[in-house]
Amino acid sequence: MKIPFVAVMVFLGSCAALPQNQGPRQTPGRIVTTTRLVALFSQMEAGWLEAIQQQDQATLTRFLADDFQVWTPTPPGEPVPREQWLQQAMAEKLDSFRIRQMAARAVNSSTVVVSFVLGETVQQAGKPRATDYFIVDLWQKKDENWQVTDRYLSQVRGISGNQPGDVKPTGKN
Amino acid sequence: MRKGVWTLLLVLACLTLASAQTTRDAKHVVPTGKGWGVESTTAPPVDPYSVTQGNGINYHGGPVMAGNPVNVYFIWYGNWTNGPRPSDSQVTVGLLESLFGSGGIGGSGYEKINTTYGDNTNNVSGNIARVSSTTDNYSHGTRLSDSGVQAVVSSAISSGRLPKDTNGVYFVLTSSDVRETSGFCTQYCGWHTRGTISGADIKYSFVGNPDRCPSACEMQTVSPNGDSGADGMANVMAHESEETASDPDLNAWYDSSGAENADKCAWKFGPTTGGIGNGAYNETFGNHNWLIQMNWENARGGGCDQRLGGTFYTR
Repeated sequence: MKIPFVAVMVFLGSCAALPQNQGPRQTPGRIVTTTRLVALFSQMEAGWLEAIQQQDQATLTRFLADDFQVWTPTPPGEPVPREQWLQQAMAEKLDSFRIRQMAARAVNSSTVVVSFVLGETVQQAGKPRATDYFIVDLWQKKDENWQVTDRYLSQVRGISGNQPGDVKPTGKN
Repeated sequence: MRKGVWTLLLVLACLTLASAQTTRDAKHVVPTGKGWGVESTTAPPVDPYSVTQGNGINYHGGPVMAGNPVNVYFIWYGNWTNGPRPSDSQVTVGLLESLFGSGGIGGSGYEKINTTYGDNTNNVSGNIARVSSTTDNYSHGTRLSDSGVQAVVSSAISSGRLPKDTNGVYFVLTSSDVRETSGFCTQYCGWHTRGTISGADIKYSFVGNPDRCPSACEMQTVSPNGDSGADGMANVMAHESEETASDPDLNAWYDSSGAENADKCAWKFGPTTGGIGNGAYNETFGNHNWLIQMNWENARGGGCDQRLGGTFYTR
């Protein structure tokens, strides 16, 4: 069977046109300059999750106010107290995480409401389980340190793709 | 059988081409005249175009803006005469037009950092200059969506108030009473993108007056030019302009996490004259001092610096 010369040239041309380095980014709609607060709290939330990954309770507790509590829809009205949540967090085998769609709003100079989608993969019964959560954290500044007093958390489904406010991967997740 | 040989030859040829593309910035090897090459002990010749990999940011095949200069157009949206905050004023207009005017940021050592980015035919020049400006008196009200921003640019071009320029960056600059509804002040302080407008590939950017949300979008409220809105916008506009020049169609230069050059240095200023919060500045262009974030230099391993070839700083 003869392969026409033109077809060969077209094929080689398509090889030459291959991108030199294909990155993971799909062409997004726009590229944003994140706010100072998003930049700051992206680092803080990533530090929190890295502490869980590394089972580093000392670092993790630095992010939590003394009266920290976690609110979930089930059961509503019964927050998980700090010590109980810490126990759960330290028992978690967090393989990887990704923070997306972060927004931060300063209520005043010492209170900031931060919302984001957390995609995490944990080991459960020897198998990885991926879950997305929508989280709202209430950060308060005390003695120049930021700590979370309240976390509101709910599982979400069907969220995907890069959005403004996405936090870049840390390389550790 | 012959079909198999042809297929093998094609695959080998393709791999050779791909290899040639990805190894152009490998170690500099010089011929010995003996049939093999050795690694040179001298500096490699300057690559005519800066598709240089391995500095923490990667090239993805798209074009850069090679204009010398890259043209800049301003669309002053809203009330820039006597708006609700003091910075919604002609003082801000004058300051930012001087930043992108003669003796401004264009051609500075800072903007020349962008010359370390190129595509397969050109480098970014590092020269950028405002050509003209227009106004828009709330054509879409005080609530602007992303598509509304594009419509503002489209209107300015189609009406002839601004020229259609594929070598241009169109800034939509909104007064402090305007809310960009997709996340200005809570998620971002500005953004850039591209769109097909009047049949052309038009690059445009949104930057709002950060006096609307100083804690989110300003580094300091006591600023070098005594106009916190203008000084805050200058920082974000520098960020957006250098990203637009190096990644105009969002397919040229960004790192493995999707960050473009200025993203990698966002809110990092390096050493300043004066303390942050007290009118600190780190750049002087023309007759003005500015506090402007560093940019990622795609050379020497990569890093944030205040001017091409300068010291890298991490904060």
